[in-house]
Amino acid sequence: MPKEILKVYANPWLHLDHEGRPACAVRRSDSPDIPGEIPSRFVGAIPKVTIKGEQITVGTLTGTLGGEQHEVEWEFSEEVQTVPLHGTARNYYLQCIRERSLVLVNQADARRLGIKVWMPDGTQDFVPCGKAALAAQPVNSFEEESA
Amino acid sequence: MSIRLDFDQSSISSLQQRLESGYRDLIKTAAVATGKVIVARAKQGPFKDHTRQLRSNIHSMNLGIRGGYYQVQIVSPMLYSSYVEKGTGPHDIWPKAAHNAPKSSLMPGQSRRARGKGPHEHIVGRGLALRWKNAAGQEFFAAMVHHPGSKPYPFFAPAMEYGRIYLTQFIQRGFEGISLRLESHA
Repeated sequence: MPKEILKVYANPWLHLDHEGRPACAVRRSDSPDIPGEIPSRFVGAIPKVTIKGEQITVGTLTGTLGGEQHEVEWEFSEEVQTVPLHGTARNYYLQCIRERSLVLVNQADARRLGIKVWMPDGTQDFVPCGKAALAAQPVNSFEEESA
Repeated sequence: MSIRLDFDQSSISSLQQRLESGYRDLIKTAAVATGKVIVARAKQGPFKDHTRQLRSNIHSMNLGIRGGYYQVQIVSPMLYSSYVEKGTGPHDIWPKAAHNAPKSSLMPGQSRRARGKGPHEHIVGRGLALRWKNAAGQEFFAAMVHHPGSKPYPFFAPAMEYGRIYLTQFIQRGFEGISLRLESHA
């Protein structure tokens, strides 16, 4: 039986971090446990982690004065991403689409899967799709500091 | 005799909203706090420090609510993290040219290269591979060595288990706090 695949865009602007940068990264439910392969763990998003603070080196040891503060900055792709829609991942990704952390590429998929959202006038309609929906996303919440 | 009961539906929905908001805040606070606890616990792992890179790079990322779950990711980004956590079995080490060195070239001070079969994938000794000196200062080279394997130093799994217990207790206390507040309002 062929496994169902869904085409989506990452929606960076649904959440902002404490610096006001886009930070709505969706973790893949099917990410393989490969050491050092952090970029593949998110749908169209790559975290760039930098350690803030003054670095000191004593002998072979390098450390940060006062403890490390990890700063996470996200880099989002504008390309179409694919997510699996079978098994336990199905409900997770459909919920992500409903809450607009992910945006469907095709309206036909929204109709086929019956993904409806509440519209501002109180009625229900199929979830907006495509690049236009991505551009029209309002920022509606703020993330806590990511460190 | 008749009894009349009046229900103010607006107050019920307000109570429900406050409850939902309280639960959301509790779960968010618990998840963020647990992430910090797990990171602190993992950094106390029993492994030895050579460069301190493994210990200092462990960190957490608060992703927020995605797909109905509040997600906090704990990351140990160093490539050898899983080898420290789980240990390694016995394996062979074959020499390989240093980074960016032309194929089959010898590095300064290197007198021989790997021969015969072998994956040739382990870079050791910064390209001056499989070289050692004895007490008299005499240099030796080997085409291949057998590594007996490394002992595991689990730091992540115990920290996650600690975090699981911490999270359970945090939420349990939070629920008790919410129910106490509800009783005081009743």
